[in-house]
Amino acid sequence: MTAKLASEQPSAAAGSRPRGSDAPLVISGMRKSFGPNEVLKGVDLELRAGELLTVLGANGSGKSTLLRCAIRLTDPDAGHALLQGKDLTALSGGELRRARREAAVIFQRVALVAGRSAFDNVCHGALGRMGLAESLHSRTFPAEVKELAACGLERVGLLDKAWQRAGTLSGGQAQRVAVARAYTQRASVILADEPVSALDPRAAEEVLALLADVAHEDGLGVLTVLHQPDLAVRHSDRIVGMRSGEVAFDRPARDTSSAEIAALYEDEQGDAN
Amino acid sequence: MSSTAASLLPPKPAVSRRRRWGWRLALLVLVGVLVFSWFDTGASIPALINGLFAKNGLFSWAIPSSVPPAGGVLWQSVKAAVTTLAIAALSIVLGGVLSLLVLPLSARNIAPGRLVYELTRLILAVLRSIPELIMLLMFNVVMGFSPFSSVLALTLHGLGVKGKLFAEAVEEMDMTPVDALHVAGAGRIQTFLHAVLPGVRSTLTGLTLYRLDSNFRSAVTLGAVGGGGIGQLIDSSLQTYQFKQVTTYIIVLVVAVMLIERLSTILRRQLGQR
Repeated sequence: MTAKLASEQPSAAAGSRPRGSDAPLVISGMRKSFGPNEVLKGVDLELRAGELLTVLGANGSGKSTLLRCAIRLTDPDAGHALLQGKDLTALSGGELRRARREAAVIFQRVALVAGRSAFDNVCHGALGRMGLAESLHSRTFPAEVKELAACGLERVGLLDKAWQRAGTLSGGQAQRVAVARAYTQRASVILADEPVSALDPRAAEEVLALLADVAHEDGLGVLTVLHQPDLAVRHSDRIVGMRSGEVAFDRPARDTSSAEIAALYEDEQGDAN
Repeated sequence: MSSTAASLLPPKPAVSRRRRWGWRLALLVLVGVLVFSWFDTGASIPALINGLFAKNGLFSWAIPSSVPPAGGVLWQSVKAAVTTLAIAALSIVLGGVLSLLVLPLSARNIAPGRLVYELTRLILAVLRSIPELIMLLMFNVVMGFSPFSSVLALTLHGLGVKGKLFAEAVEEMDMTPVDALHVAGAGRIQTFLHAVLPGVRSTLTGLTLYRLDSNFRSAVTLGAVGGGGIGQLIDSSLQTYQFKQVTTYIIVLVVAVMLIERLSTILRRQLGQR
């Protein structure tokens, strides 16, 4: 239930191979630049099973890029991302695809296929485990996957919406379906990139509470990037503050002060003024 | 109030000398192209007036010879229109299926590699650049005159057109659901079937239906060069000055085009509401 920054342990030099760890996700020495703009400056981060870890930071601080680099949706310039012991930065093609199954991603924009039912979308989480023949159509999905999908929907309280088209679900419901998909995927880690930024306050509370519950009850590691410090403090076990591509602080949520969170956004306020 | 605000506006940036001369040059080129085209095509106002009003012109001879329509060829013209519709429908379906098959290779954002993408788009561009009429003439040489030659010509040209339109639809789609399935470990085909196709299904169906009436009109034109259907009947009757028959064929043709356009619109609307 505790997250530890790799920097708190004997440090791994940026770019070097990371040490072994029990944590499902270990990021070390992560660097990424877009042109002359260095967005990540050697970030180390460790996500443990059973914890909800929130990354806070101003726009451009590198938090979303960190999350994307962690699962190779964006290729980092340097560094490593160990997902269940496998270094995603060293893999490609089918190996990368298989290794990445351990992580489910919840995006800021709803990542469901709008024309398909909530149930089908939850089943999609198991596509990586299915053979081509059984995955050709939702009717051919194995019974085990359908059972798992029903359990997932029940877990997020949306069993009654199973046959509703994903495009007609509310934003909060859609994000909960995305969480249910992580169950079908049998992921050990959920990475959520600003999952509540498009939601009203009540739905945002529900989704964050669900993510915390999933971490604590089901033992998944949940890493979320947020723009709402109050939600982060209320629901997270640990908060990592990022500033200009570096980790500014890493503390248990209860020990995080308002002042140090406010300091993360000072430059942005200054720019605005 | 507004005049005060307007007076506060900063001075409008002056149009650069280079840009001003660029516009003048473009206008000059346009006029030059039009003048060249007029003479190169043999455009002539006296010839037009002669064609309309001379003794053997449109108003003195062709139109009076075209009425009343010949009722005796009505059934024959309906059957020929159905053949033309069959040509259009078959070529639409075949072209659509082929376009779907090449889609995973022709859309930049899902293609397995830059080389595959560029090669596929090149083939589609070649198919698109050869007019249907020329394709039909080539098929007529190797397969003989038949409606099936029209089907093949329209299918291949349609593949070039629809292949590009389908690929552009995929390139413009929201890739978030696709990324989500990629991360979940889904393979290329699985992602295509469960995220890409459902994401663009309405757009692709709309494009295909939109092509149905244009394919029908093209099939009529191809009929005039041995492609079968109502176009072939119109050509035959024109060559023997059977204008009353031509009138019947054209009436049937217009009704058929209007019905197909209406059907296509209704189907597109229905799909849009889903």
